[in-house]
This record gives sequence, structure tokens and C-alpha cells, in this order.
Amino acid sequence: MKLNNIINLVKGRICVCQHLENLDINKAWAADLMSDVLASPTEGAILITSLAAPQIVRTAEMVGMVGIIIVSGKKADDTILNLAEELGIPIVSTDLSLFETCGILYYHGLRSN
Amino acid sequence: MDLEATNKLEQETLSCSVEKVMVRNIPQVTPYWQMRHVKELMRIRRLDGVPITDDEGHLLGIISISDLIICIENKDLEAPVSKYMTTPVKYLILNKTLIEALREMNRFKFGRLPVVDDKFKVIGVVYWWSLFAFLQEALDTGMVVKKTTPSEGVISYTYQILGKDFVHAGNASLQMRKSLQQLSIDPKDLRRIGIIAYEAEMNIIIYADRGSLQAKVNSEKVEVIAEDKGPGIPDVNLALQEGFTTAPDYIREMGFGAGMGLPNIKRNADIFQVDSRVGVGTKVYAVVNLTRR
Repeated sequence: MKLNNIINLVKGRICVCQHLENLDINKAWAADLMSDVLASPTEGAILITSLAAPQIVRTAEMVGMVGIIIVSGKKADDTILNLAEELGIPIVSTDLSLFETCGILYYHGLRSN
Repeated sequence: MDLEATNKLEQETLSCSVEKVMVRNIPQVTPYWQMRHVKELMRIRRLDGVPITDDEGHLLGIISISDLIICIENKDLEAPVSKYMTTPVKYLILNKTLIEALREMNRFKFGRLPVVDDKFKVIGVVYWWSLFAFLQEALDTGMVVKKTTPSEGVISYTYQILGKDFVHAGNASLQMRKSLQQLSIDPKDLRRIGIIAYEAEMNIIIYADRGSLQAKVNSEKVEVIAEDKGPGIPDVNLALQEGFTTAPDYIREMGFGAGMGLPNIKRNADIFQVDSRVGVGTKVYAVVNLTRR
């Protein structure tokens, strides 16, 4: 599924790395606990989280995740956005909740592995 | 610090424009303000000096803490700013570099210098603390000690970590990952090393006062060594249980402190050791054997 598709499905908007909106996303992982992300088979996945802290970007980069969706309309501050820009990790923001975001993407075929 | 790191700090950091270290959005204060209002402004914004400008924003003078003290001693807070401001005032032009700012401030023992553009309009102030913050950040990210021992074919990277430095939490591991990436290590191994480093770094930041993170690389394995001066772990076996945590809630708000740190490190390591002494510190040692490519 293209990142662009995902953005449309969750009624989100892309905050950084607009040039990556054609990126192919094949799996997703949802977590607010970064240790969970580190402990799980998350490589190559897009991270769905309601945590808006710089740690989400560093964690994603660390385990080779390809993008981040921040849910519940949480605001990503400049530190997060600059870091994501620098590391080339697109950040999508949506007002939908974690549950709704996961549900919609699962319904449209995205899986965790 | 080796030559490479020192040079990096001098060239990139010290020659950058003062624009990078100055504080913007300083309210425009004009000479006919009452001293009382300036005092309030300085108190609320915690500024130890504010530039004084005319209505168009051109620099006229400065009110510093010492000017304010004289005014308060005179019980003259209703007086206009023009009566107490220091003038003429030392200033920096926008295209000055950080090292020039440092020299000026040190030469005159000033704690702050207004920055003006080519039309002499104030666009910001370099405060000693904004300089400090900038330099500390530069030092933090430049604080990598790279050593090579060619005879043994070992490359080692060391990163300093400050306890409670949540702003930079994860930076050292990211830098380490970047360095290792250049050694063309298999991505799967890189991921394991990254997880070990990240969890170890978070542990230092959450629990210790300071510590270091080191990666020693040779052709067969990467050793990750995280050492800290901190409270130590009273019961290592308990700490190795998934879900066991002593982290306060605010750590959890950052997505950490769920009691997965040490178990996560263990799971990703081929060799794993924890040495901890209560009241002294903790040393975590992990080895990842590299996949042959």
C-alpha cells in the first residue's frame, strides 16, 4: 500500500518528507511503548502511535521502521519534525484514535508481518 | 577527545553565525517605558538584560541587572528607561561568528550582547546562557571518542551520556548506529546492536547520573559496553524479569520504563552480562556476533 493511500484512509496529513508519499508500506505496528517497538518484529513497518515525543523517531530509525503515524491529533513539535526530516522518516498526523486508525488500515489489508 | 572531533567542533560550531545562538522575540522596549515595567519583563522572562530601541527598532542602549539595581537602590522605579539605560552599548552585527561573540563577551565581561542587522535594528540578543546551551549541545553531539587499534583490528566508539538528559535521549545510540552503518554491518545485526544500545542508553538516562556507551568492533563481533555511575541494581535477577520496573510515571510518558530494557538487551545479545553494585553503578556488557557476508 502506498503511503499516500494510508494518508487518505486515515484522513491524515503528511508533516515531513512529503517526497516519500509514494513509499510502499507493507506492514504496520502500533505501540505507545517504545520498548515494545524495540522488542518486536517491526523492521520495515510503519509505526502507529499516540506518543508525540522525539523518542518515536529515534526508535523508528533504530529498528529500521519506514514511517510514523501520530494519532489522536497529537501535535508533533519542531524537535520531532526536524529529527524526522533529517532521518528521512515521513510523519503522518491524524485526528483518528489509535483504535480507529489500526482498524481502518487492518480492514484495508495492512498487517503486522 | 581526538583530533577529528576537536576539529569538527571548531570548524562547524565556532564559525557559525551568532544568529544560531541568539534569543529572538525579545520585546521591543523604548526609552520612555517606566523602569518598573522593564523590571517586570526581566523578572517574568528571566532575562538579565534587555536592549532598548527607538520606535523603529534601532538599538539605543541596554538595561542590565546592574542598571536595575541602581534604579531600585534609588527607589526610582517610576523613572523612564532613558534615565538608567547604559549607552552607548556594545553590540554584534548579524554576520559575526560565534567565536567572535565569545571573544567580545569575554573581553568586556558582558553577559549579553544585542545583535543588530545592517540597518542597526535589533533582531535578537546573545545571552551567556544561550551560548552555553548551544555549546553544550555541540559538545554533546561531538562527544565521540574514536580510537583505532590497527594491530588488533578493533575500532571503538565511545559516547558520553548524561543522566536525566531526556532531550537527547537516544542520540548516542543513533550516532553509534550511524558509525556502525559505515562499516557495512548486516542490517539484521545492526538492528540488534541498535536495540541493545538504545535500551542501555535509556537505562543510564533514567536511572544514573552519568555514563558512557561504547561499541568495540572487529570482523567477528560487536561488543556493546554501557557503564554508569548511578544507584546500581539491588537484585539483577528481578530486573531481568519482563515487566519489572522501578521507573517513575514520567518516564513511561516517553514510551520507556516498562520493565523491558534489560530483557530486551538480553534477547538481542549472544553474550550478556550485568555487573552492578548498589550505590556505585552498573555495567552492562553485550556481544553481537556478526553475520558473515
